[in-house]
Amino acid sequence: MLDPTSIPQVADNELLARYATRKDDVRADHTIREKLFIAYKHVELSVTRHKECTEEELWNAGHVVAAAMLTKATHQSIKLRGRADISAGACKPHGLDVVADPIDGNPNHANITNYPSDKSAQKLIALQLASQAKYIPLH
Amino acid sequence: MICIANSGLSEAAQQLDSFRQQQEQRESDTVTLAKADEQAQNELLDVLKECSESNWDGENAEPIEQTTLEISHAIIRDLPPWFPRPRVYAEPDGHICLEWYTNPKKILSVSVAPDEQLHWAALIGSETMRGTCPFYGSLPQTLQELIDRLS
Repeated sequence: MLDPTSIPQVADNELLARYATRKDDVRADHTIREKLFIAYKHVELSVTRHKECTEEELWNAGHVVAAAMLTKATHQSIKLRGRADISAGACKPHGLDVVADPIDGNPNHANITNYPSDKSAQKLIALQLASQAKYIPLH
Repeated sequence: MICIANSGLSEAAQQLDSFRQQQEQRESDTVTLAKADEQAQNELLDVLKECSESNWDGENAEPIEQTTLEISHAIIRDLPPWFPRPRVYAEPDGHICLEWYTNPKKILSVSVAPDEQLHWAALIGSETMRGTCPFYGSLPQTLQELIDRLS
């Protein structure tokens, strides 16, 4: 993982991971649903940068995300199922930014920001991002 | 009942065989449609069971309201029989998403909101479209036409 004392800006050629924790995040053919790429309420979408991350570290970060959701969710169908990998550069054509946002335990944390407020505009961007992302199931 | 094997010897036999095949196809289509209907309604029930409370996703999701469920149910129930049925899931802002998916280049996604607005986006080949329209008791013509284009 990145050195927490020296976090570089996110480059366009970096890969970002978005974790799938519900069974309806992904279709049966392993394509990704738009819901994984819409920033509800928070107006920014949490992702983990692949930069200087081992596979194990990437999956560990996903387990932490799922565990945090599970402790607060009212329904217990949440678990880490996989991740959607997308390049940071795929976000810019849609007017989005990717901003490094290191947090405790995850110096590779970043946010996809600048989503429009209109729901149909969010949906279209999310559909397009989802179509560009690659699903990696948890083994 | 007398079963006549198709030996292809007479025009009448061929017509009977064609009729039999059409009947089997209709029955198969009816079963497929019934299964798709059942799947959509079951997914709506799952939404009702799993997403009716606040924070159902562990990230402060809004609960799904009765109005949203009723509109979604009405849309699915009143789809023309030859239309494919959507997949159904809840969204953290309290909307219900109805998704018609054929392949990665043919998708229509409609979010049903509790204020009876339908927010939609579509990828059809190289075209991208989006919009918002009110629900007046049936699926708007715009969305029906888009569903038609997905097949």
